[in-house]
Amino acid sequence: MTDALPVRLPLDLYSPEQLSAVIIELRAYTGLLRDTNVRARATHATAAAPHASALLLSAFHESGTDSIDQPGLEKLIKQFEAIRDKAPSVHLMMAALPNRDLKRTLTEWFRAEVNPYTLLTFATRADIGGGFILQAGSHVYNYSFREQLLSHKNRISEIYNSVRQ
Amino acid sequence: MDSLQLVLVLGLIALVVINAVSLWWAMKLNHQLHERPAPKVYEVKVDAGKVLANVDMSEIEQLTKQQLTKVAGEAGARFKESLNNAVDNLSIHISDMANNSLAGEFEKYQVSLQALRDQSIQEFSKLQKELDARRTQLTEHLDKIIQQEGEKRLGSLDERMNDVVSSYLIESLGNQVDLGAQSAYIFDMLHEHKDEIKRDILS
Repeated sequence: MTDALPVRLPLDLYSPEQLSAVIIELRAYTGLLRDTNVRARATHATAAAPHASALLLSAFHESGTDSIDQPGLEKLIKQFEAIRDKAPSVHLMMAALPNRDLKRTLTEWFRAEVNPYTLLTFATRADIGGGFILQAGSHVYNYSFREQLLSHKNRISEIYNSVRQ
Repeated sequence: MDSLQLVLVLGLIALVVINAVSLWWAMKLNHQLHERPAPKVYEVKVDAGKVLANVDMSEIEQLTKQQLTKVAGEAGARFKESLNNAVDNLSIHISDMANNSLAGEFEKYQVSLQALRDQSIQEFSKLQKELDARRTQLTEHLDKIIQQEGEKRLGSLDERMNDVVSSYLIESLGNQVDLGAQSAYIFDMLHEHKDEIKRDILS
């Protein structure tokens, strides 16, 4: 996939929903840019780039695409659509929603260690106490504090006995 | 007639004469016996009152008593001596019997008694061993049951204590979540299970 899609995703673009939104925005952006270019050629004016969100701008930056390069944008749309359809997706549940830095760190880890196009979704479950529950495909990895406590309950009495002695 | 016949006839005649003389002598003696006078019977009557009239009856009675006492004493002494001898003889006889006859029987009895005693001791020893073994077995079984029961109750207590502590910790953690502080743990877990996660994600 890396060879077929030689484009890098920004770390802030981590979820399938964000990617879909970026694709929609990118299509609109490309349409606006085409209209602007036509209007500029007709009026002999200088074409101004349409407004783009920070996420789209970071996508341009990471992919090395010029924001007024019409063919490059068309290609970028196709690449993003291919990523959306084929990229692996991981669902993470935590005791609270992670902040931007943690999301970026997690996304960076998955893209470095698992797949460069890994997409993440985050959800909260307050009853797990801490840690995380990872769902990849049909498999669930439960590394929550709750699970660790419940699966190692015997350690509590062992620790208690060792402390008492 | 020869001389032999003559001798025989003479002998016969002499024999007849001798028989006749014998018969005559016997008849004469019988006659003399019948003619012997019969013995006379004298009837004497003594009146003790008249004969002993002049004797002191009390003295006689006293003398009689003395004689009787003396005779009785002597008889008693003799009887006592005889009885003592008889007792001694009887004791000796019994002792001899005991030594000769009963000793063997006692010896047999003692042998039988010893055998019975040995057998009883063996039986009691066997019974004692069985009782000891059974007691040991029961003691071990009881110890095992007590130990199992203790472990069971201790396990139940530990389980309940663990439930209480786990529940408390989970509730406490649920109210005080700090993902920043947990990030080290999160990435440690991810690194530790990276291969499994990667395999499941890419499959």
